[in-house]
Amino acid sequence: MTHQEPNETCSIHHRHALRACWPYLKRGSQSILDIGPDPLPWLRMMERCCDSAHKMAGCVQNADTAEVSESSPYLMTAVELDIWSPLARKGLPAQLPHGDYTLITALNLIDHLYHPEPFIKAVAQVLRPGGVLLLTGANISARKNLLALLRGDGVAPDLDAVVGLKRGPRPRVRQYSWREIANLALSHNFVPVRHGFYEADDTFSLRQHSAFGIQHSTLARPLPNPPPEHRGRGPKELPPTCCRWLLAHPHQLRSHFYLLLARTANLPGHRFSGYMLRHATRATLRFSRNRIAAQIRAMASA
Amino acid sequence: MSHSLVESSDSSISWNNFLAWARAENEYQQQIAGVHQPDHPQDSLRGRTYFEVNLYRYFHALQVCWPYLNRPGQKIMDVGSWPGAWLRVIAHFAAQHQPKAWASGLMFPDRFLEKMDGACAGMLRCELDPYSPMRDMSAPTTLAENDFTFVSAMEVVEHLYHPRGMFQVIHEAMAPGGVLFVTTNNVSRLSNLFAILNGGGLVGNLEELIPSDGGILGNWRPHAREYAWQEANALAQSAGFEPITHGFYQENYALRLLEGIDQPSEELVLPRGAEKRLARELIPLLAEPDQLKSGMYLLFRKPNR
Repeated sequence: MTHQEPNETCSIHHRHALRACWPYLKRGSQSILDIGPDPLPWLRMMERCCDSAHKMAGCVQNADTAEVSESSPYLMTAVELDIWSPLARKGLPAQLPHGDYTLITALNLIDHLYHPEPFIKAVAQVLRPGGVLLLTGANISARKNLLALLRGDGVAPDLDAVVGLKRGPRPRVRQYSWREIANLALSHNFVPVRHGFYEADDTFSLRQHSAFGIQHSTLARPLPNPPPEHRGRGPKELPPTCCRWLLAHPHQLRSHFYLLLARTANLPGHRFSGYMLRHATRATLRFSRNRIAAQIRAMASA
Repeated sequence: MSHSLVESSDSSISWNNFLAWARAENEYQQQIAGVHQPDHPQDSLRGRTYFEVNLYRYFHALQVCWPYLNRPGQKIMDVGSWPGAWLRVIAHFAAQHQPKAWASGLMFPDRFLEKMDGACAGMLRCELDPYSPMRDMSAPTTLAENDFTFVSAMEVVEHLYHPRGMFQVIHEAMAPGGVLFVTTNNVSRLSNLFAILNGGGLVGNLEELIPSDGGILGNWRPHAREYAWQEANALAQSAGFEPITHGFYQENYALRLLEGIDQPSEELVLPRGAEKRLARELIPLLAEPDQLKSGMYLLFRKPNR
């Protein structure tokens, strides 16, 4: 995770991730897998904070280099789960190592993937039924995104960086709401358990790539965004009461979300959780119900 | 754009003039492109042509582009042409200047040129999104024709994973001084802001964005991403274009305009009480007053140098 967010903000993400999965870490011996560009700091932190001896392993995904450190105290494997990405590394396995894991974490990874579906599918294959997946990512409904939309700017600042990237960490491809990821995960036998929002510095945008000294073949010159005549237009901050009545969650304007998903048995009826019923909008409910009904029909006909 | 677009007396092509032609054209479109299926999930589309449900978008585009179409010697390309209605609009209203228009893209029905009935000079098959998981690997990634003086890409950019490549391909195929017209959904429209504040997101169709279950590559592609005007502007500028202007408009999608049951309106549609309340709170904050509207257009020029 560390390479995709500036180092100084890592502790914030770790702290919130630790809090989110603390109930599972306290349950005694767990088989834990972390997936990210550099799983080591987060695995070390979990080990430091937990009394019990967990079995821990890491999977290197989206790293600057496919080389895995041999000096790591944990079992480390390089994988390529982002199979649709133009940056996908050839020759790496597109599956996670089998380990019957009870907790899998992926901090700030999902929004850096070209498409999250192969990742969710790979996790579903190795996570034990009843096991938990913890995801964190940039929140599409963050305050800065709302302000950007109101200014006429957009929410895809790293769009170009994916194409033509020669080295360096993989940029953010897309930002999601927790509900979009939960909906996708429903198809792969996950149910949402808990979600929340937290604030963290989120400065790793396209403009920061140049500050990090990372070269893009597609960025011959800085993006002319916004044009001079439009600079300074639009709001600098949301008024204190604006839109608050509409928020589905009181902390929803924070920069990141975390989402805990539990792996269920392979029964379509189990996919529709009480949690989803409480938090879904009508459209989401209709979407999920239709999908589940379609899956049941397909199973019946098979 | 404002409400006066429909009523404007100094407008070169009035709404009534356009509507009269569109009624006849819709019958032709039924024959050449067919209609939406009777079991289409969206009630308002059933039994209607693509042309009909997007009627106002064509009228709006004609208004914006008229200064560039209403002149002789135009060599035109339309990107993502299916079902060819825009080419037919140009051929009819700019007939006096006898423009030569090409269609480009990947989806061409059988006997497309014949169906265009003289509105299309040729087809340019091209994959404009080579980084898409659904790319057509058999299609060329460059255009076989060039020196276009006017290019339109209506409702294309939001279907691409990486539209920068499209802008570059178009830029290379255009003559210096040529004009590019782009329309797309506006990511900062009211319904999107409402959705993300209410806990939703901006990609409701994630599962459609990959060729799942061994799906066919190169098939019809859903929306991959919606853009703000500044993003689209930046993409075009980085490909070498200069901005001319941009604006926002109401698409009046699927309204019963041909029958005269509905009237086109450029006013922001506020269907629900909560959205209306949200709009009242947001409008004073906007960088541009029309920014909550559903569609946007951008005009660019390829510099002469």
